[in-house]
Amino acid sequence: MKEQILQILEGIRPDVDFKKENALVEEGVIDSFDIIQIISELNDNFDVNISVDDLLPENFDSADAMAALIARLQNEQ
Amino acid sequence: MTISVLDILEAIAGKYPDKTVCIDSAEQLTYSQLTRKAKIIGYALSQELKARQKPVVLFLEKSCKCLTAMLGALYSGNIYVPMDTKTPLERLKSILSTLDTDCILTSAKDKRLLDKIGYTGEAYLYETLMEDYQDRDGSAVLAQVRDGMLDTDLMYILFTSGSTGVPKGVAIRNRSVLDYIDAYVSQVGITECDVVGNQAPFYNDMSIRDIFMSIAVGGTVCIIPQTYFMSPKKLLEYMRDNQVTYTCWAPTAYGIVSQFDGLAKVRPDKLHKMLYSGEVMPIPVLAYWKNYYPNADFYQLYGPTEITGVCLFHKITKAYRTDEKIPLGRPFQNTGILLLDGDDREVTPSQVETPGEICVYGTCLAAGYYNNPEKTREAFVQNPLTPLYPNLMYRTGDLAKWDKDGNLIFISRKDYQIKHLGRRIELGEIEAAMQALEEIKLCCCVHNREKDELVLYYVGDLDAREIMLRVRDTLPKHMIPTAYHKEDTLPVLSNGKLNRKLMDAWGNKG
Repeated sequence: MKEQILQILEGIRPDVDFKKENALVEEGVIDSFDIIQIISELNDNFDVNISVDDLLPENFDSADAMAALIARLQNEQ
Repeated sequence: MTISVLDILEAIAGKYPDKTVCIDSAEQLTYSQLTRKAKIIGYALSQELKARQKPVVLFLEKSCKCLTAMLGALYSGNIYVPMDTKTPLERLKSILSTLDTDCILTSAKDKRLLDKIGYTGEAYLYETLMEDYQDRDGSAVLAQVRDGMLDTDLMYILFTSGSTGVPKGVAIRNRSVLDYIDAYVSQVGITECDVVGNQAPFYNDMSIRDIFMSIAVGGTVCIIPQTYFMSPKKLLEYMRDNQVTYTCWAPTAYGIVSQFDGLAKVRPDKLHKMLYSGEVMPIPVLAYWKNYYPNADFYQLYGPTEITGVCLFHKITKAYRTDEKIPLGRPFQNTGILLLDGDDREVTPSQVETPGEICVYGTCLAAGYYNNPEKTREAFVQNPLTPLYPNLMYRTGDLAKWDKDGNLIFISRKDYQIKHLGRRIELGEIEAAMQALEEIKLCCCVHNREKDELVLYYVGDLDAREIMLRVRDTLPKHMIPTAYHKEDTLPVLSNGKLNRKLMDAWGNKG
């Protein structure tokens, strides 16, 4: 799953090294415009529904955090 | 006599010394604390710089500290220039060169960002100035500065995108802000009970409204961290906890809350006035907020940085269909609005539906673009209605028409300036940065209005990733296109110019 997430992220922001970054939101590497694109791609690709409760910086600060969020949402379904 | 916002600040601080003026995520200041600290920074800058009316670049994230530094620069008799702490190095250098200064004031925290982009020059540290000067008596020096202050002195300079690739510094005088305060307080309204939830960065003119309208009436400005706008629940909880009553945001910011139905989770219950400006408000976003706040007041405001803040306003009293346009509104008091047709003839309000360019005159007018007489002459021109004495007006480049109620309705831009994420961008500046890359032979940037996305059509031997990486030193993030189309050639018109209309249509197909 992480590979697929990395692919999605690199598609949206090819200039960012998502393997290394671990404070994407906190340090302003990605902005609200990116976040909205990321959420829509993640929802479509993993058939989940990221809600307002999940929209926290800690869930989007790294590719790992996003993978953990999606795994949790898939389990809850 | 009221000469600058400092006179207003001191009057209010005398009236409400212990009232909170500013809240950020780390600290809060009362009116008396703010005044005292700003005077210390003011005295420090006056001693360090030994200059008057010199630009002081504030490399500071929006915060109580940044507000103190802004007022401190004014106390020292100098001009403050708030800077985006994400400004790339080349752009920062270009701005410093326009300002003809190397005076930067930053904080211990923000200095790290300055180091990160590779800036090697000197910078004053807020904390050091505060420590070095807090026990010294600067009152005589500060009084002397105030004696020499004029309402025509510059108060601040805000940088905005420039079509040739060089950012333009809009220079605003003290008196324009005083005039803005008078008109705003009487026509839109704000009181000492209001807590303004600030979204706009301090390098954007929308923040002038949040900050100085609050100060003028003894209210409170609650600075919302930028990252909260990516996390609607956190944003709304922060607003609820700080009892925010009043917001004036870019439509994009309201849109983030509605997109995720944030108000269903948390509804800040003190909120009673919501304003927006900067770009067109999507009707469904407005309807969403009105639904949760049926008794609140909603206002559309309009005005470019060059006329200080707002020149047209409209109170929204009805529900709009998605195919209708919300009016820009009618003129502010003491603000002259002129609609001029292609031959510089006036389009009067009785000529309903006739398009013209919005021109603005009055005390709200900027002094011009700092150190840029050429661009100043292009945009600040003689008012054709008063040819017998010098009287300048600003040509906004926005085309509009009058409706039957005396409101102006926006039609389109005259040029290639767009609004993206609530910020003003000249597509020409993006193209200039792209053309500076050797491999790019030809390019054209267009704006997909539906998706609010920047699209680049180009001819050259680079892929999207390389382009994005290489323009990062010149263009701020929000100006870097996110969709790239490599072409063998770009369409041109018979006169040899790029066929922008055609590429705009490509970019807006979806």
